[in-house]
Amino acid sequence: MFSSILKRSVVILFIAFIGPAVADEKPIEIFAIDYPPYTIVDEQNNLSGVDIEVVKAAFTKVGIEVKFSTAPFERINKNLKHGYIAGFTSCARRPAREAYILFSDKVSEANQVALMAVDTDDSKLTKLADLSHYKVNAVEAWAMQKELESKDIPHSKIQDIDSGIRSVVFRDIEVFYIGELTALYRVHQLGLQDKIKTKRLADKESVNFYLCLSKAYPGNTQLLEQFNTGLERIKASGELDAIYASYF
Amino acid sequence: MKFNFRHRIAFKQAVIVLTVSLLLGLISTCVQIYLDLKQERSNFTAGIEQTIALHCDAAIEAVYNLDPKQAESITTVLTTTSEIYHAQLIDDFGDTLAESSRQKVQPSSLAVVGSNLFRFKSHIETPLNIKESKSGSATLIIDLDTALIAGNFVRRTFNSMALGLLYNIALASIFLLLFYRYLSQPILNIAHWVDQLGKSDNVVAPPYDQRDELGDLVSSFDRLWHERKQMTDQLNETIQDLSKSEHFSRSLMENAGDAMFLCQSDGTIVQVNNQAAQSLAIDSTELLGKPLAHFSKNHTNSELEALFSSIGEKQVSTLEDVQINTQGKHFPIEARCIRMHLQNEDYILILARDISVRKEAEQQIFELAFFDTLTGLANRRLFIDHLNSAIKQHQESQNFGAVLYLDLDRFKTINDSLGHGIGDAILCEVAKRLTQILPDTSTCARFGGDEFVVLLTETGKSAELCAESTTTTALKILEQMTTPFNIAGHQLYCSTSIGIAVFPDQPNNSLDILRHADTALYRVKAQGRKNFQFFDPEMQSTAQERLELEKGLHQALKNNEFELWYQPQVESNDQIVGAEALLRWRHPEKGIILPGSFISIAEESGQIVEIGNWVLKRAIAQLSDWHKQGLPETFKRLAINISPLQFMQVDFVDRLLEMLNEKGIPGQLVELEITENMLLNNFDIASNKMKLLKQRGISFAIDDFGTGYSSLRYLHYLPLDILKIDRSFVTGLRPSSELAAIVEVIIATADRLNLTVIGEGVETLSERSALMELGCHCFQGYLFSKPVIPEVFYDKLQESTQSSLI
Repeated sequence: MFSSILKRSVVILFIAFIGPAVADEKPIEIFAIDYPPYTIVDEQNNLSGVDIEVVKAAFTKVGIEVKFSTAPFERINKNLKHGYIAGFTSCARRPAREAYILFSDKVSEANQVALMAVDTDDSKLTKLADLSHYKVNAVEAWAMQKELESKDIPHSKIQDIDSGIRSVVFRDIEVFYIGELTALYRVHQLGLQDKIKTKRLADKESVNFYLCLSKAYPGNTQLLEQFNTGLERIKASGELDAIYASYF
Repeated sequence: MKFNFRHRIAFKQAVIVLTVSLLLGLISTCVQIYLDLKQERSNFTAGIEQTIALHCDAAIEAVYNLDPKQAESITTVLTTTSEIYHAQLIDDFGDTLAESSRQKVQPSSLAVVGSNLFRFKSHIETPLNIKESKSGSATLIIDLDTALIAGNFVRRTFNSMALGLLYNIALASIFLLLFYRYLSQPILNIAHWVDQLGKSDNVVAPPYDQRDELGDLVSSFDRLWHERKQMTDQLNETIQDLSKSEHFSRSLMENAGDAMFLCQSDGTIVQVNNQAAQSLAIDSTELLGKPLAHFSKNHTNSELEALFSSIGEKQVSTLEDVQINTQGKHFPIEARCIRMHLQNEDYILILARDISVRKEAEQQIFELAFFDTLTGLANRRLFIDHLNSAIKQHQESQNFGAVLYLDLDRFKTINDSLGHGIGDAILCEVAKRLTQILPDTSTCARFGGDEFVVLLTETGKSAELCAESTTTTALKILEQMTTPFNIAGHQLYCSTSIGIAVFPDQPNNSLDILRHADTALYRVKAQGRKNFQFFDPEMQSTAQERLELEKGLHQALKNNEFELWYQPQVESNDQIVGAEALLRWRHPEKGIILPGSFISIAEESGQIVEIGNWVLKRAIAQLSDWHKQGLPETFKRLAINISPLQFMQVDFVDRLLEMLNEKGIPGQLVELEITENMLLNNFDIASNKMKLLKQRGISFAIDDFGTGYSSLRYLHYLPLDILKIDRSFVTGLRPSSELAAIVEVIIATADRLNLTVIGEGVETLSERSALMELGCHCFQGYLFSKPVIPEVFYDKLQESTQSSLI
């Protein structure tokens, strides 16, 4: 217990004295992809989104300047593996990622839902396996697509969220397997909220998203501590909630 | 004309074109290949770079997105390119994002060859800059199928070369056909045409009438041919005419009766005709190159050369010669030599005509004209001709000659009784005998019938000598005729009578001389034949006297008519120191005859030897008598004259020595007097004999010194003791006269040679004193004593001795 306290004290001291010094030198660069509403990349590559706001607030809280950049996910992932970038937000926790990623405390969560046109019969859809009875698509390479693939659930691959949304509204696709918040954010943006409905699957738990820091990137262990500290502080201060409220 | 395609111009040109085009093609192909190679490399590299560039952005994007599918699609697309068999995209993290490959083309042999030529970078790595990459750049790797590329290139190259080869062969073939069609074939036709022109007299139309170079050649040749043919025809006609002319000339030459020699200026034969070869009995080819003088008897090569050089242009020189053919036959020729200028060289044409027949005819004519046909002796004409020449010659030389006119006694009787045949045979025999005994310089002629005439030349300086000589000849003739003639079994006696005329005793001509001789002949006949008679009575008497002397000489020895008289030789004190034995002929009718009148006759008749021996024998016998009677000491020697003929007798020395031995006379008492002429004529023999006799003490005196050639040589070399000055120097000798100078020289010479000098013919006291003054102290002459008989001489000797004692 004491050691824990001591350890935290040291971290605090480090943050208090070293952290600002580091922050003065160079802002931490955190990568993100367009995954609304968590992380949103506009056409000018300006990043926003819930998680962006949260991460930014958390770091700011501990006195660390942060900047956000975007890149393809596989690139970001591989950079993380090699320690070329500091971190990525936000990503789910998977065993394969444990080897090279330091996961922060939970930043946000997501639920995989079946996005359907409002008139789609979802009565037979309660569990993930039920998707086999529907014409399903998923954004290629995303976790949901890989899940379907791993479960041998037939599906088609699309390249982006908008295509998935449109496919269920205007095409013969019955289910777009996607994160709930993401889908809803885009639906709102597309003005299709009246034609869309979502349904959570009984056997699917929510998925937590974390700030993922590369294990190989120098100083990330301390950075992770600092971030978690800042995250706790904004949670505690209500800033987190305020951020969420501004998006939904 | 054998057709050989390989020798055609078309073929040669085609080969040349093919070779050159192949060579040029090969070179140009090589250059083209090289340039293609460079271009191909450049193009290929550009193509590959372009291909890479085409996929570069997509690859960058795929790498940026790390999108394996997109990357694979890129590599797959790349490998679909035929040249690329492997493509690999490596992300900027060093991981292979995608890789595609396909099976490489199996390299063919051409590809292997080509790969050696077509070297290029087959492994290409292209860096890809990935934006915002933290790890560096990505790499696009492509591997090129070199075998395929090289194979393609080589195939194209090979195709290009093959096409080039085919092109060149086609070009050469086309050239061959074109050359053959437009060059060789026309040339062949032209050649055939030219060949036909040469073989045929007919005019053949030109085979080519195109207006091009060959056409020009053919037309020029055709024109030239016709011109030349025309000229050739004319030339042939001329040659034919010339040939006929030459043949005509040659026939004339070959059939000419005269031998023809064409010689160079040096006499070398260069051409002959048949007659020349026949006359010299040699093949005409062997004659060529030989000197003409080789066959000449009278001319040497240099003489002929000189003769030829003296012949002018267009001048005919005639000469006579005797040619000798290869069989040794001599035949006279008359040669006419003409100088000819042929082909820039001078030649001498000699036309030699065998004039044997003409010569024989001439000889016959000559003989007929100048000789007696029966006897072969000269006839009247020739005789008179010779006589005229002799008269002229003898008038100039002041010599005498004689003409003897002979007539055979009783010839008419023989001729009439025994016939003309016998008579002619006698005439021939007489002619034969005459020519045998007459001197070579004489001319013997037959005037006809039995009349023979003899011309004797150079018979003497004086009429007397002439008479003597002629008498001798006449006597010989008379003697010859005493031998009987044996004609056809008949022994015939046929004496002759001779009339003699001497010339030139007075200015007269040949006919006068002949007439005189004829007159003398009739005088002989009138006196009874078988004798001779001079026309001149004085001559006749001289001859008569001579005959009598000669006849008397034979008798004189037999009848002991010779005597030896002795003339004293005295010294300055009148002491008789010796004597000279002198021959005297006590003729029963004429009394005492001096030796000067008969010694020459004795020498001519050969009696001199016998007389000389008698003299020698008699003198030694006399000396022996005196020796027995007692000779004073002052008497030194008895001089005995020896004639040359006697001295040259082989047994002379032995005979003399035998006489001396027989009589017991010392040689010192004997002195032999010899003449200069004997020494000059037989110097060696005389010298040897004199030396032999000298060994016995016999002394030698030169008689009549100064009258002969007076060679001083023998005075030195011969064992002489005494030198007798001839009376001609002594008679009238006076001191300081010209004679005295000669005598003085003789005496001085004798003194130098230790010879005793005796002056002969001393008749006066002044002569004696002159001689003494000149150094001669021994004398002989009428001043002291005439020759006297032995008894008188001995008395004189005794007296001389006694007077000297007193």
